[in-house]
This record gives sequence, C-alpha cells and structure tokens, in this order.
Amino acid sequence: MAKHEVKLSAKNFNSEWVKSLKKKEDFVKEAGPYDKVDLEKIYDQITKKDS
Amino acid sequence: MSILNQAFCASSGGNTGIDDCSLTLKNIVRGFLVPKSFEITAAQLADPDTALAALIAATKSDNASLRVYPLPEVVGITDSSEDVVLQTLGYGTPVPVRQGNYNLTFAYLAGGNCVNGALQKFNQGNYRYLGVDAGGVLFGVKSGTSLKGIPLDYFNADKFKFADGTNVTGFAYRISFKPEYLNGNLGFVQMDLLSLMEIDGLHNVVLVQSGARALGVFKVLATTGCAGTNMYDLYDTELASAALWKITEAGKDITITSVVADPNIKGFTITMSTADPDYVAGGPFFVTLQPVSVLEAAGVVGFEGLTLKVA
Repeated sequence: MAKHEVKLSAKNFNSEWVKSLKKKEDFVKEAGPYDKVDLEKIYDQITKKDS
Repeated sequence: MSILNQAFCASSGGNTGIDDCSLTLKNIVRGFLVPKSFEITAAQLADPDTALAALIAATKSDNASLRVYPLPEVVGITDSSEDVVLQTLGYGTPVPVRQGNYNLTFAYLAGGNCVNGALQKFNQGNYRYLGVDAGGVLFGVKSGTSLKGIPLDYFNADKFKFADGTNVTGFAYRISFKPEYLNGNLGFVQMDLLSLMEIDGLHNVVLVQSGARALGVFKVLATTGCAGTNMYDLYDTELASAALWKITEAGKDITITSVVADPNIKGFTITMSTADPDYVAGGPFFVTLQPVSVLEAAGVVGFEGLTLKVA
C-alpha cells in the first residue's frame, strides 16, 4: 500500500521551543524525522513572525 | 427586648391567594449532576440565554470537580417516594413525624452501556441535582438570589437489565432527597426546552500508543471513548498541533517539539525535546491532551483527553 505524504505546517511545532533554539540547524536536527527543506521553511516562518 | 428564654414560634400557615399564573412542574425529562458549589447567579439569571450560557459553560469546565454533568434524556419515571411517616400515640392519635424522602428512578436509553458505566462513577459522589421538566423549567433550590442544585441523599446509576425479547435493555438512575429542599424552597427558571435538551456532556478521547517508542518520538492513535471514532478522521488538522498536547515524566512537563498527523496510521507523531533537562530517555511518559477550553479554542469542541502511559 502506498505511503501517504506527511504535510507539515508551523502549527505542528512548539513555537516557543523553536524560538529558543540558536540556529536553524538545531531545529532541523531536533524537530523530528521530516523533510529538511520543509523544516527550514517552517523555521523561517516561526522566527520571522516576531521579527 | 431580650431574646432570653424566648421560644421560637414559627408563623403558622401562609397566605393562600392564587395568582393568575403559577408553576406546576410537568414530568421530568432530564437532569444535571452539579457540584455543591455550582450556582446560577442573579446576574446569570438576568434572562434565559445568560442562564443557559452559564449552565453550558459549567459542562465544559476544565476542572472536573467543578463541572456540571448532563444526565441522559429520561424516558420514564418510577416514583417510590416515602409517604409521610406517622407515629400513632398511645390513645390512637396519629402524629406526623417527618415528610418521607423523594425516591425517584429515571429510565433512559441514550448512551446505553457506555453512559451507564460513566454514570456509575458518580454513585459514591457528593453531587446535587438540577431537573428539567417537559415545559422547559429548570428547577433546583433557591439559595438567596441564586439557583443551586438539590442536595441528594444519594445518586445511584443502577446496573443495567438485560433485554429479554420483550423488553429492551434497561438503564436507570435513581436519586433520593429530602422534600424540604423543594417544597417551600423550590427555585426554577423558565427556559427553552430544546436548548436544555441539546446540552451534551464531554466525550472522552482515548489515546493508544502505535508502534514502539523511539528516542524522543512516539505515535498515538486517538479515538472517542464510546463509539471508538478515530479523532484523526474528525480533527487531523486541529490535533496536529504541539500546543494541544501535554507530556509529563516523573511529574514534570516535558517540552513537546512537534505533533504531526500521520495519515499512514491515521494517528499523530509526537516528538519531545531530548534536550529538555527534565527528559529522561527511560520514561515512562504520560501523554494527554490539553484542557477542554484549550481544545475548544482550537476547534476541538466537547472533548477531554484521557492519559496514556508510554513506557
């Protein structure tokens, strides 16, 4: 049976935790087993909301 | 004037003029178990809408001990109330000793064994009762300017009776209370019957672990407590939010980094921060959903999460 694609959004993540990380790489490393490009976009979304 | 040695003489009798309009309760069609502290205040009793809003809000309280619990629709009543208890004196004169207790048994069908099991958890509880009659009158005890629940001597959800080919499966609960609370102290509000009947209790969300836990990551399935409906089918987008879940380990909150819907298992992948100073890889972890109000604000209305132990 075909695997369904997991769709990510900023809402999936704990924004306070994301903002507490010093680098985008830390987020990508600790966020879970998800697509790196998606994670980088989400990191930018979350951290830019307050900037 | 001193009150020393003055016996208290209650006024005998009351005025019996009959107004144009008076209350006669109709048959009871539902009830609510309410905590001792619950009241619908004078401000909330400003009109039926505000009274209804207060009642509904209490059914969704985050604090289970302050919550109002709607009882299922009543389909029949058996009145086994005690008669007046009389003492017959030596020369044969009967003297009323006390009014007998109200003992009412309500039959219901809605919710079946599932609701019956939930109601039995109240059997040793210390709850009060608000009733609803067929005319939309919400009644209880008048306490100052507030409406409160009737103090119960007991609430008991009976064991169910098996269907026998002639009768359907029987569900019933019974209440007993002193007549003084209603007779002379009755509090009531005329409301919209349909609105009162539509008030629903919270639904449990049962969490089950799916697969083995990896370092900082595990998957859960979420289903409704009675029907077993998969919450993923109802709220896959809403529940895929780190803000709606809670994990503790050894009594301390563990930071959730992400919650992502997994369409392959129709569940959710929960990732914890292994860098959290309270995180210990060995577990066990206790996962649940955030309080009722948080879920409702996110669009998941009418649910409360149970706790899952993830070893």
